This record gives sequence, C-alpha cells and structure tokens, in this order.
Amino acid sequence: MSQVDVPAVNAAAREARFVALLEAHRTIVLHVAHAYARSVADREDLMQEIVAGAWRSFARYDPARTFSTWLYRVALNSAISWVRRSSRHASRRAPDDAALAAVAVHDPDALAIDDDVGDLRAAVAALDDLPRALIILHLDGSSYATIAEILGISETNVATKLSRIKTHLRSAILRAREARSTHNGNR
Amino acid sequence: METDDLSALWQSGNAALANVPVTFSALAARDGVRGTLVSIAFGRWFTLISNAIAVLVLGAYTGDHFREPHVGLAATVLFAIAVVLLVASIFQVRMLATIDLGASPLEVQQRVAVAERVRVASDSVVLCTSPILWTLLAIVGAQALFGFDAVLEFGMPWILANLGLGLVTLVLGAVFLQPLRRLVAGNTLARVNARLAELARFAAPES
Repeated sequence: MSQVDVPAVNAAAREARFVALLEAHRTIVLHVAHAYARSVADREDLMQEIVAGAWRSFARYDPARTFSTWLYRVALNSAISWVRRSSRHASRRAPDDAALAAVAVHDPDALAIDDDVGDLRAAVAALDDLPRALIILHLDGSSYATIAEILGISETNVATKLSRIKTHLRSAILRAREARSTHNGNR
Repeated sequence: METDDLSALWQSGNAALANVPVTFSALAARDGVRGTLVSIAFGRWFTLISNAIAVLVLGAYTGDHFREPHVGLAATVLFAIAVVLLVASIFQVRMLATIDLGASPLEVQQRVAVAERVRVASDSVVLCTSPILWTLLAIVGAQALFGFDAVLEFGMPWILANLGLGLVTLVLGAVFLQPLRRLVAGNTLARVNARLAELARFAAPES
C-alpha cells in the first residue's frame, strides 16, 4: 500500500482552495493594486505583496466571515504598507495633482483610459493612504456598512468622511479639467 | 460632477482591468508565498538578539564586578540601559509579529506606528546619550580587556577625552548622515507622532 503524506496533501488542498478563492475575487487585488501603484512593475510588485500577505494570513481567515471583506482588508493593509515603505523612492512617491494628471494621460504603462478617468485616478492617488482606501471601497460599490467593517470605523464616520473626500475629488477633477483646457488652448 | 458619476467613471476605468492577465496560481507558487516569508524585518530581530546578548554579557560582568569602584557603577548603568533596550525591542517584535493583515487597516497601521515610535524613541535616546555610553563602555572595556581601572589610572582627563571623542563623533555623524541628524533633532520622532495623530483623526468621528 502506498504511503500518503497527509500534511502535504492538506497543504496542497489548502493552497488550491486559497488560489481558487483568490481567482474568484481577483478584481479586489487588481483594483487595489491599480489604485496604489502606477507603473506595471510596481503593480506586479504590489500584487505579489498582496498575494503573499493573503497567503500568510490565510490560516487566520474565519470561513464564517465574508472572504471579500477579509481580502479587501489584506489588500489594503499590504498596499498601505507597500506605499509607506516605498515612499522613500522618488519614483514611487505620489506626485501632486497636476503631475499625476499628466502621468495618467501620458504614462505608457497606463491602461488606455480617457481624461476624466485619468483625472479621477490622479485625484484618488493624491489622497492619504486611509482616505484613499475609503474612497476606493466606495467607488468599487461597497456599502457604508461594509466600508465601516473593513476599515474599523463607524458608519457615521464613513458617511461624513466620504462627503468631504468627494467634495475634494470634485474640485480636484475640475481643476485638472481647467488646467487641461488652458494647456490645449495655449497650443 | 455628481457622486454617481464618480463611481461610474471609476468603474469604467476598472472595466479595463478585467482583461489584465494575472495568474494567481503562479503568484502563489513563488517561493515567497510558501511560508518562507520573514514577516518582521531582519534588522529588528538582529537588534533584539544583540540586546539579549548585551544583557547577558553585562549582567554576568556586573555580577562579578558589582562592588568595584568606577567599573561596577559603569557596568550597572550599561546593564540597566541594555535591559531597557531589550524590553523595547521585545515590545516592537511582539507588536509586529502579532499583526494580522486580516484586521482593519486602521488597527494595523496604529500597531505599526506604535512599534515605530518605540524604535525611534529608543534609537534617539541611545544616540543622544552615546558620548556618555561610549565613556562608560570604555571604562568597562578597559577593565574587561586589560584588567585595569582606567578612571583610577588616568583620572578625569581620560573621562573628559572620551566624552569629547563621543561628542565629536556624534556631531560629525549628524552633520554628514541625514538619518542621524533627523534622530538627534527629533524630526523622526515628530514624523511618527504626526502619523499616530493622523490615524487618531481618521478614527475619530467628524462633526
């Protein structure tokens, strides 16, 4: 009778389950990586970091809870840590609104996106790490209750902060539009 | 621009991501994901082990030379500082080792910032008192390595010379090395405290 390495089989099954769950929720990893990293190389680096963090924490995941909530937390934690760690490098530091707007349009690594999407991404990228997490969750379609659960703050706090961030985003987008139209008018 | 427009814009940008080719099984199969990751920076473990060794060595030395003038006092002070540094490094490693990435980002960032504050505070204290620590170390080292009481043999000029040497080294280090300058000036601690205040503001309900 052939001997079966039970721990190895369990580990393989666990890893297969992990990968399957990750594939089913791939958009969370992609959305967070694209919101926190600009270049293709940085995004790959961050995605690797998120997957590594998720795998490392998977043993503590409680299946009774929603996987998407858990994965959002892991992805945001990994992204915030990655950004703070790499902020020492000028190439990865979030530039100002105007520079980001220019990058969003002209970065050869960027996906083919129109000016408005680029302006929105640039404005989001210019936010501090936690407000950025909050607005990403909102723009991705999460409810206030889910955002509150993921970020560990109250729903009321989510609503108030979102209102301020959205006002800030609107004016940043308008400024970027005006800057672009002035630039185009001068050419 | 209305809020719904913002969400629609964002999601139209994200729609392009559906076609981004990513193979998670390939990412998960990389060496780093198979449990070989070191979750805590090597530097923090190194500091903890160094502090533990310092406590053991200085503890044994202090026990043997406790009643000797000058040397006993210098060794006791160094031993006490080593114990405080060991406690600080255990605290940091424990704070970081028990971080669960599945916890809320606010909680995780607060733990990271608190651990960072302990590290920066202990680094700043050691750095700012380094001329004194160096002198105490020279007193203990002279006795341990060469078997003589340097304070008794050379007197106050020798102590002052060592203090001066420590001070000059500290000043030169702060002039030429930016991280040292920031630590001595308290800028690094101010940055960490600002981060903690920022996190507290985010957690606090806004009116």
